[in-house]
Amino acid sequence: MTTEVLESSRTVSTMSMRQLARIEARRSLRRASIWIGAILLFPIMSDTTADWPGGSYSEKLLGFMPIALGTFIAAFRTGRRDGSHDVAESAPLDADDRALARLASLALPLAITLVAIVGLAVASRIEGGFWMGDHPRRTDTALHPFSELLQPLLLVILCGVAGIAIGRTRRALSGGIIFGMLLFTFFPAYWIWNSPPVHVVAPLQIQPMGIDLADGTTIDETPESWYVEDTNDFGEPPRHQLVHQPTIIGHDIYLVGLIALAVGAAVRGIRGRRIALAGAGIALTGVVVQLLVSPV
Amino acid sequence: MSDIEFHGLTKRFGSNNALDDFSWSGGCGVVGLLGPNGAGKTTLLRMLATVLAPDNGSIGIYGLDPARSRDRLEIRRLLGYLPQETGLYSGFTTFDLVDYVAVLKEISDKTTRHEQVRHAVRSVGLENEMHRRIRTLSGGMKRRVALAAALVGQPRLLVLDEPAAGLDPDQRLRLRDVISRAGQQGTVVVSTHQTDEVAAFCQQVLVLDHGRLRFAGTPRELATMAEGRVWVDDHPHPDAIRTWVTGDGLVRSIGTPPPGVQLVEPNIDDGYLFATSDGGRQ
Repeated sequence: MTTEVLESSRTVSTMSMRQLARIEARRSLRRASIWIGAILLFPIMSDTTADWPGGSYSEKLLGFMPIALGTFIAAFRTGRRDGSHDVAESAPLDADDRALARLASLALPLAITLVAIVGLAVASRIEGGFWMGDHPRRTDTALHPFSELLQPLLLVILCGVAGIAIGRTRRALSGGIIFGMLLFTFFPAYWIWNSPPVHVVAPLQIQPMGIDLADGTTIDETPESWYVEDTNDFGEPPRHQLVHQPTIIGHDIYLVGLIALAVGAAVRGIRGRRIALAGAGIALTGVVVQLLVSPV
Repeated sequence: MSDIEFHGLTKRFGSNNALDDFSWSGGCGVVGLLGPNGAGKTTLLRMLATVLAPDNGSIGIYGLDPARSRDRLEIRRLLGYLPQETGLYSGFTTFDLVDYVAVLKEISDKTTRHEQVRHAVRSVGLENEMHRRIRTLSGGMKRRVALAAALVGQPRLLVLDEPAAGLDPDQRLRLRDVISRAGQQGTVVVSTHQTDEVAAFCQQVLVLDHGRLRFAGTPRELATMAEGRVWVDDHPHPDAIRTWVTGDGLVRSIGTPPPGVQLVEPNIDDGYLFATSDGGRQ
């Protein structure tokens, strides 16, 4: 039966909204995928086997992929909870209010991610930092800037909100198909996303950026301040290793825009459309900023 | 002013006229809604439950207009609705689900809410299944969970779409009690295919057919609609509108009785069948 369905007005009890949000946050504790993501986070982050300059620096952020994926799966299942028929569809708190409250279910993965980010920031600073560049201009003290550490947090939020939005609008969609697509996007194919120019729209932008030098260039011919990855086993030319903060900030803006876009899609209605429109604008701004400032 | 007022309601789904210029007003007590499949009962109840808008016409519920956003929210605060096809969260327990719905109904005080949840669950006879997950319950039990969710908060207007579907005879009797009690405190509009239920606990009955109102009155008036048109004989009559063989082997017929047959006192089944027959429409 498809027809015009009435929405309720927007002046529902805020206390009831808070109670609903608390219920959703509490129920998220039962989502195994979040806990699996959290458990996988630590071994991946503590892995130090990357044997190329910048490898250990990059892979730290990849450690957040499992929890982002786990958050998506949990949120997708929460978003599609109503199945083909809404529960209590004529209650004062309608489907849009429930979607908004379900965003509170992201509190747990966000808290875990935040703890891991703080842990990474503190531990890497105590440890001294990561390896960047080859001899003779190698450093072992590269640290993730704040703008870069913000990325995994934004990614987890985005995955959660997108999961709720997709779960709500595509209830019949197979969770397995989505899981497979995301798994491919986030893991085997993450490096494709980070190849210019699509790195500006990557789910997680990996630094340092490698700027290929002209054929025949040697490390000695490059400026003193550069960290350079020497010609590697694949015969690729030397690369200037660069953590480019303006691009990261642009990417953060892009992720914030996508989050707003997903919130709008999750909440729907007039309010949702406004949020989504603003999100699309912010995301576009983030992409433009990156294209303007990115050195690659 | 009546509790519920429908004026010229029309609703089309494609080429199908679900409701066709439907008007009625009334309320207070239990109102039974009878009609064959596709008569428009569910469409009417969905409109009453403020989840569906009519194409034309207007609805008044306690003087409020569901077409207006603010009024709609006020109506929803007074409303309990059991749809024909219910959505339940299979991973929730009975208590958690009804509690969730109570929060959706803005019952914010936790102690009061939990007391009302327990009361609603007890009233449908599921007190022993309070902490069982819904996925482990039988179909009839799930239906009762949905009924408890509709009842929680003691709504002033209760809209029930075939609440007895899937219930065993014992639960049907319990349901009658629940609905009767709710009818004493407000208005209950209940759709059903069971004419005996309508006779048992409804103060008013509406008969719909092809989206049109065929009858509105008391169950007794519905029965008397077929007065002088029901007879028994030992063989079927070709001019009868409806004919069937009763348990004692006699042929009971509705229509224009032929001369010399034995007329019998009509019951609500006869009234309903006559109202939805060609003869009744005329």
